[in-house]
Amino acid sequence: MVGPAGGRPVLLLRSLSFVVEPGEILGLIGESGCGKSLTLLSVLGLLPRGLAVQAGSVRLDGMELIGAPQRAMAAIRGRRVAIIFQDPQNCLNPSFTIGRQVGEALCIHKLARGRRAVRDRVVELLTEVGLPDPEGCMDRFPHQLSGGMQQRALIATALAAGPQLLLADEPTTALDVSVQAQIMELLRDVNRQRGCSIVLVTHDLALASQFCDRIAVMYAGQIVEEGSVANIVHRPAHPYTQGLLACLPMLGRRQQLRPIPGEIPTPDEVLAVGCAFAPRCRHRLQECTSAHIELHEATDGHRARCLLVRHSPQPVGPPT
Amino acid sequence: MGVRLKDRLGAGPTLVVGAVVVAIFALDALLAPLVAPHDPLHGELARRLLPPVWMGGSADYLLGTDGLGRDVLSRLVWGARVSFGLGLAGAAIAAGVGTALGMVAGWWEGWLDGLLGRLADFLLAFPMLIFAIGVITALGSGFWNLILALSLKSWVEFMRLVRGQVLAHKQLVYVDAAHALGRSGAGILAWEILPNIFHGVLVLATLRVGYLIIAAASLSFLGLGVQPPTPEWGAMVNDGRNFMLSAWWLSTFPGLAIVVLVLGLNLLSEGLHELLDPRFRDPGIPR
Amino acid sequence: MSVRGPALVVAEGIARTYREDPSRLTRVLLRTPPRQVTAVAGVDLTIGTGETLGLVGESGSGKTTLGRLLVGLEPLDAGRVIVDGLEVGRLRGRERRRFRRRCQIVFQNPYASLNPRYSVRQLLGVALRLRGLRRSEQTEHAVRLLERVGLSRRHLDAYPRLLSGGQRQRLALARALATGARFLVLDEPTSALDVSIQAQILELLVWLRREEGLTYLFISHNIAVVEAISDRVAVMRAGRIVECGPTDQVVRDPQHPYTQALLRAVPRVPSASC
Repeated sequence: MVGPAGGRPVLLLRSLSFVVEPGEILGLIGESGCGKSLTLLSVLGLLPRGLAVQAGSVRLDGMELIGAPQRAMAAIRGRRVAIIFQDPQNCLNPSFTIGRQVGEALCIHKLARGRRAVRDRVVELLTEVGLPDPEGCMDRFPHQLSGGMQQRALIATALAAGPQLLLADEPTTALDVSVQAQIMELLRDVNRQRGCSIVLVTHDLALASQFCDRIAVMYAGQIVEEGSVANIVHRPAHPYTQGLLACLPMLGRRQQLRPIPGEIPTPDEVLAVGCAFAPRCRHRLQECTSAHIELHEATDGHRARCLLVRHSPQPVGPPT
Repeated sequence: MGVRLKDRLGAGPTLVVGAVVVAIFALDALLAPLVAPHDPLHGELARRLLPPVWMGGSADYLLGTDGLGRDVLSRLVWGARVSFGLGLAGAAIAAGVGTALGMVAGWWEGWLDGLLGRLADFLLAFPMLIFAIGVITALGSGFWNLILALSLKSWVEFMRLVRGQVLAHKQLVYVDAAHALGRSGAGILAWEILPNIFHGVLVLATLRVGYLIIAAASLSFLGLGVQPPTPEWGAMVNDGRNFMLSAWWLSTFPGLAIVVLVLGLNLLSEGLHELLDPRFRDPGIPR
Repeated sequence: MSVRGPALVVAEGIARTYREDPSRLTRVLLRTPPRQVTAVAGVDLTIGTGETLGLVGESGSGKTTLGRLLVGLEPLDAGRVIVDGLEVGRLRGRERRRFRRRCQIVFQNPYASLNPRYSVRQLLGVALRLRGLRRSEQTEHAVRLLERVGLSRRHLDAYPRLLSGGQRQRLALARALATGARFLVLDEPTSALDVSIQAQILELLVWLRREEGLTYLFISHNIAVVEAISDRVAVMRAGRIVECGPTDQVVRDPQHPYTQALLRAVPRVPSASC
């Protein structure tokens, strides 16, 4: 539960829970305002000023992260959990060389001693992320690299300390589609070769379905559906997911796009009780707005926050 | 223009205090003939150097009289016309000229912009007072010459501000949209860009009025501004200089008047800035 | 290349290069040559009346510049553009106004293309004035336009900052249509919007096209979106069109290696297997 510290009762994330298994890639899908970025920030205790975790827990390998002392968190950030953001240009310091920035990650966590060792390790990392001419790149500044290369450098910085979990907040949204494909391949390699789990936050359902193992769909601060990619994409249970799939333009199927009526609610417009999506939902029932709705299991590992699922555990079927 | 003033006024005592102070002085300046108890130019020599009423003076002359028997209060009130008027006129002219030139420089760039830029650099090299003294020595003193001297240097700041703003806004998409809808260059400047930068000019202008009042007062203090017997606060401070120990009220009250008015103007400027600037972050959404 | 209807827009050999001339002093003293970037390098295209041509390209391909050249927002360095019989670039004064009534552009960023100082009514007023409507007639026209794009009379006196992204784009569309234009250049009109809103706007565009008999040039970096709305597709790269043809054909059987690479890179939903 995340909301403004200091009491104004507008919750931005509500009873959000999910589990990331070691070695898996979890996709967190949602449109703007659903809270997906906030979710990542809460894990690492990086919420902006004015927001705080009001309830709930985040556990890494059994260790509780919420409320952990700053020193413990500093040891976690970068070392066991790393995060990469959307716009590589804003994340890389324009005044320092790439080599220096990647090396910084190593030095903070005391993983290499001495300039020689640090340099060697940085070159290794830059090679791992697929940068051509890693030695040369080391001495270049961020603005001398293309967007794709900057993002690779950023990933190198994130991987420097060998994290178990990588949080990726829309890492390819600012990139061209061909570069996007390459970066996603890189992330997949990182996942396979290092066994590093990844939480991929994106608004692009097609992208997530191509690269993730499991997907969680968010709406208005809650997870409304989660399951394997196959289940989510071919047997979506929640009307919002169904709506998303029906309105996504996808190559190869010249289908009629069916938009979801209405607008995404702002945090203070969200219904206090019941399903946040109800006002826009075609299958809306009386009870949808009268009581808190839990995640109901449709099939094994596939759950949706919808009363329709509770009534008929078999998913409602492909988008009508 | 959209935002409810009342909502925003609650957000800043700065604006209210500033506005009230300035309003008082403005009213005072406008209604001087009605407010001042005496003729500021006429002195009763028999009643010179009377102290303020609470120090034993006469109720006829609430704040005392000066060396020529003139009522300090009346001179103070009429002086508002002069001092405030000088600042206002100077700032208005500077703002008008500077904004116009800034728009031209920012929009067309090229040699004109270069020329104005060099001119601006040149003028900015001079401290205000030195420059004004130079102008006045050349042209003679007096009300309008004083205004000329003050605005001749002040327009530069407005030009720079507006030029920068125009350059920035020129790149924004809504300007493209206006082009596509058929507006011409001049039309875009006047109707699209100016409304967006106007508040910046207003805030700066308000601040400038205060600055120019002080500059005018300084010049008058030096004897280069408004000539006697016209009441002007700076000149009054100068007149009272010789009597600082015996009749302190002669310099103090005009000095206080300057301080309070300029403070009020600064607060008003600050308040306007707060009022006008962040209003685009207004979150209210009626769907 | 089959083109539906008579050609409404014809562009021949158009080019646009951005030059940056360093000051004369620098040029003489340091011998720095003028820097230049060629955004569009010799493009020919034709759009038939009632047709939607999709223009796909990555960043830096010149697609935005191409769109702007067609509406006369940028000067041509070479070639000609003829829209509805009027040659863009040779227009002065009244002719130019006539042109603006035929051809309009909708921009990508709904937050920046509407002057924040103007209310909806005033924004539409500028466009309606172009059409020659007097103040008294404008209100009714404005309301009708708003309703056509899915907004309402209620929005007339609102300011753009109070509208959501999707609503602003609807307003931008209304404004473009207010001039009476039949040819619209849509420059990434949905790229800044959420997916569900994007679908709404695309649906609106399709509906308007049918209702009002519009012709579109739809520019986007997202080929899936372009596929959904276009009759023909042109693929642009480094200032040139490398492939152009009916949408189905280009998507299913791309000829140019760049197009093939582009299509390969697009994320696709894995097909139903279990």
